[in-house]
Amino acid sequence: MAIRDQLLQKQIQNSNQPQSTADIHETPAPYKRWMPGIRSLLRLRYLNAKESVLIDNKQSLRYDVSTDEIQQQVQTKFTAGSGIWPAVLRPAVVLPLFLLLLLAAAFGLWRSHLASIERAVFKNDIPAYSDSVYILKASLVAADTQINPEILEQINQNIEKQTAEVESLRNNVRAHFSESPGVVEKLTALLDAIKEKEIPPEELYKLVKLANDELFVNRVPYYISPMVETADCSHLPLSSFLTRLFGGATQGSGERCVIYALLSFHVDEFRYYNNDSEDHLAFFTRRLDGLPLNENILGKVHLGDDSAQILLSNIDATSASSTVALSDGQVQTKLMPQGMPDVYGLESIARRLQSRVVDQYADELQQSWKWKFEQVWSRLTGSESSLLPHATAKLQRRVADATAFHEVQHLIDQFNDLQEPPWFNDLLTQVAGNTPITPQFSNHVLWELSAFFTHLAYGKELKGILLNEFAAITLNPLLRDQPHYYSIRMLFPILHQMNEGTLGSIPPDPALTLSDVARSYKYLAQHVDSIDQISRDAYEQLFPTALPEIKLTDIQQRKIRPPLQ
Amino acid sequence: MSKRTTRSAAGRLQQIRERFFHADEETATKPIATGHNAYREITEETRDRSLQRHERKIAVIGDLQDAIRLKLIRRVTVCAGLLLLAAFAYKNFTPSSDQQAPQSLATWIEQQKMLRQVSQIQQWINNGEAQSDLPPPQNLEELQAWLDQIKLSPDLQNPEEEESSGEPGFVPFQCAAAPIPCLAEDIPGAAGDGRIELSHLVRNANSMLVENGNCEATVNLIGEYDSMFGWRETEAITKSLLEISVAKCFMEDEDTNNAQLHYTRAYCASVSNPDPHEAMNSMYGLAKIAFLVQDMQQVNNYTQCSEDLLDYHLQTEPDVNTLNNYITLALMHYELTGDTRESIRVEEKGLAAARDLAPTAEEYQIEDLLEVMLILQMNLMEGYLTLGESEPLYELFEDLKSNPMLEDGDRLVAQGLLVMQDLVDNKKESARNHLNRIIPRYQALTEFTTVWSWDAFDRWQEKTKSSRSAAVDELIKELRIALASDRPPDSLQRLTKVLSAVGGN
Repeated sequence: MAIRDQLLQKQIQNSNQPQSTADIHETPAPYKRWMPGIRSLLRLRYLNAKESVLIDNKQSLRYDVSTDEIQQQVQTKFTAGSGIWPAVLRPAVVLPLFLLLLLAAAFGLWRSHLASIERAVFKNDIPAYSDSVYILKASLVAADTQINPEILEQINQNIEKQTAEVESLRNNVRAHFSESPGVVEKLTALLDAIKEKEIPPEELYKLVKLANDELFVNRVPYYISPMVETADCSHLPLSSFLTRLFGGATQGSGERCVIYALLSFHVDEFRYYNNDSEDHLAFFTRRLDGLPLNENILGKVHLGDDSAQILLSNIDATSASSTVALSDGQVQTKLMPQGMPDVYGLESIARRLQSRVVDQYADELQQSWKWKFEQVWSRLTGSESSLLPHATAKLQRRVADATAFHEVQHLIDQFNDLQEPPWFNDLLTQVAGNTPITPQFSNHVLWELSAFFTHLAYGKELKGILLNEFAAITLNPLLRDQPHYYSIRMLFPILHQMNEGTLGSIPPDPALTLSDVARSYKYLAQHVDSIDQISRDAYEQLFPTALPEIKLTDIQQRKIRPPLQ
Repeated sequence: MSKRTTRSAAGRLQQIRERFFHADEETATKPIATGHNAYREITEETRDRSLQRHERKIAVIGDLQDAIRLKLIRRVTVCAGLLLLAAFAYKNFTPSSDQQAPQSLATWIEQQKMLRQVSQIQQWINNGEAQSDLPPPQNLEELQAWLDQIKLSPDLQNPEEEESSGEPGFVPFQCAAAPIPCLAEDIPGAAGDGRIELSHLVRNANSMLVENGNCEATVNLIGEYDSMFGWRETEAITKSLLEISVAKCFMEDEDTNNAQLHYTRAYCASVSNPDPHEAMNSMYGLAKIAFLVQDMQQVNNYTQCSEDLLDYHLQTEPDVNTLNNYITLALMHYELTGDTRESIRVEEKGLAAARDLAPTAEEYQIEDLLEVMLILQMNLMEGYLTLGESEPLYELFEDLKSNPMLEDGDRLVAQGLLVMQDLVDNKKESARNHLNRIIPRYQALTEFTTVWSWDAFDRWQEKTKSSRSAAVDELIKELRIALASDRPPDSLQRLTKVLSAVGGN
């Protein structure tokens, strides 16, 4: 109302109402000075005011008042005073602004539309493509072994349908990037490769890397990562599962098929980490495809890749579930695998370590202005406020940060070609027992060991949470095929002895039994506050070189190294 | 003068009338003076005309307002329609983000993982590294249940070349709320009679070591005994007693991690015994540790498991030794969960079980049974007093009097409780009667203080403070302070005086 009054006041002051004529403010003419859209509103307001004056006069039996006087009386109704609105809401000012706004909105909608189409390519088309390729391969296997002509006919129809689907999805992807030939070329190479019967994973990883590099160069904020599964070709059809599960092992054809699922991610952020004047790139990615597949990892670097991937969705899920479990007082079972008794009472220690971190986060958050503001807001609105989401979010950020350092250490070790220390092989032989160890696996164990030192050194704020995560890996016998399992069995006794001051240039025996793991874990749980320094000291003593200094750079512009050949 | 004045005034009035009559035709354009001294006379016809014009003007403005409002509504409707159309077009031409993800490939990959997992578990079961209570699953419905109940041996944590110590330790009782896992090596399993001298020797050695605060030495003692002689099934109590004493030793050093480990081992060593005493003590120790680290969920779990353990023993082998442990269980509630009502509930349960057992008890067990009943009855009376439940308190006193094991001292304690309840209920006469029976039986106040329920006294004193005179209150306060000192006054006279004052004498 005040704006309208200001405008009307201005209009009446500026208009020259001829004496003894009809009131011109009742006509549309004087309102043309204002922007369309508010003219009628102003006129209506004027008429309302005038009507009110006339009714007042009538009630006081003064119905014989001149037009000028009536207008003066009307004017007294607009007591808003002067303001900026009369100057702003002129068509000369408003119309260009309005047009600009309209254009911006249209442009925004158009960009949003294009982004949605691009998102759909990664969210829907690429995962659907790998799914269709799998169905096609499984149908071809089923057709080879099927003797019933009716079923064979159905299978053949399905093969035709899937072939068309694969081609259609491939064309969709190509069409979307038709203006970026590089992206089309790299994505097409990748899509075609997974259609092949047998392409080795290392070859496919190269194609994935090329595609991801091209996306990055072209500022397409998406990332692709494959999940690989190798099986006997005759086991590809879904229907063979129940027979194999409940009917005992079935004899396969002997021919091996490699199946790839293409998982897609949105790149929320990318960062460069600097070590020794070399920059290393890390992508902070969020899972986009809705495939019900869980990788159970927080970050990864593919062999030969020069960038790291941090999986924010997995980090968010684990952090949120653990903080919620803590707040509910639920017993967490993440340290010991399901079905394994907690003989050494490690779970309760793990819970205490974890709650310490979350409590500390909550304490810190309570001091923040943001939380105080939220408290005031909740009091005003009567809504409930909880610290838990904030603590969870902070935990998620910290876990992601620490994971990035772990992955970057892999990049550094690959780049610098980390040499195997003389003691390493002996330790690995002890901890692996009868498990056959290939040179690649051995290297992988060494890299993980090195990365765990960095992880702890740069994840000080997480204190015991990292210790819990590491213990959970090495306590799970189902992870015996993972290099991390063995690295942690070496890491714990090393850190234990380092803090006791008895570590020499040769590390202690690895933790071979549960009691060894428990002993070191319990010891380290009492020294989590200094675990970052223990890690640095131990690394320096055993490798023997200082733990790489890794710094987050402030590079703003996007830059990319030449892709691997 | 006055005549001239009247004439001239009448002339002026006529002039004004004429001017106003003329001016009436111009009222639409000319301002009209409305000052307090202005005067005009308007004919009725003129007034009606002006009024009609005024009314018309208001009507015209009303019509204009309606027209503008209609115009505004029309424009808003058109704009909203255009916006809706744009939103619809945008939504229609933008790919949907809630498209269902394809399932086939993901399902197949999950199947492969599941097959590997099941195959691995089958292998562990075949090697004795995992245990299953269910037969292998035959369909998908059974599969999840089968996977959920698989128990993995802690030996799986050892490298494959390590000697496996066999199957996970078997214990006859396991509680879901707080399972206490047992390794096979923690359960004495060798056959043979108990070696009494050897047991005495090792117990004495343990006492000496623990007295010196050397917890690790006792740990070694247990291990060395095992390697030299091997713990036999018949020596389970000795082993569990040693483990409990080590655990207590670690508790004194505030090493709760090691204390927890040894309470667990004590539990594993003793849980197969027909007498749950050591297992209960171990569980009590574990609950105490959970209490110290403020893990109240775990405290409740251990308390629940302790009750389940006693229920299990009562079902399988009802024995007076089992009933004894209801006293420990009540103590757990009293000390750790702080729930007096639960404490009373489990004691009532123990008392009921004792009554059930009485008709079938062997003769040599009767005395023990009555003794347990007596303790439960006395504790229950104190519990009822704490909650201020006078009716069951008096009933139980009657019941207590029929217990042949009731001795003079216990009777006096019970009567002391009744005095307190009487005071709470303001039954001064009854309180005086009971006091008169109690006080003459004591030679000294120190003797009396040992049987008097000071907790209840303090509660009563606080609760009834406002209803007493300041002098009596001061007297009570002095007495209470004197009794709390190391050397309470050796005189009953003072107490008698206080209680008489309180009792109204």
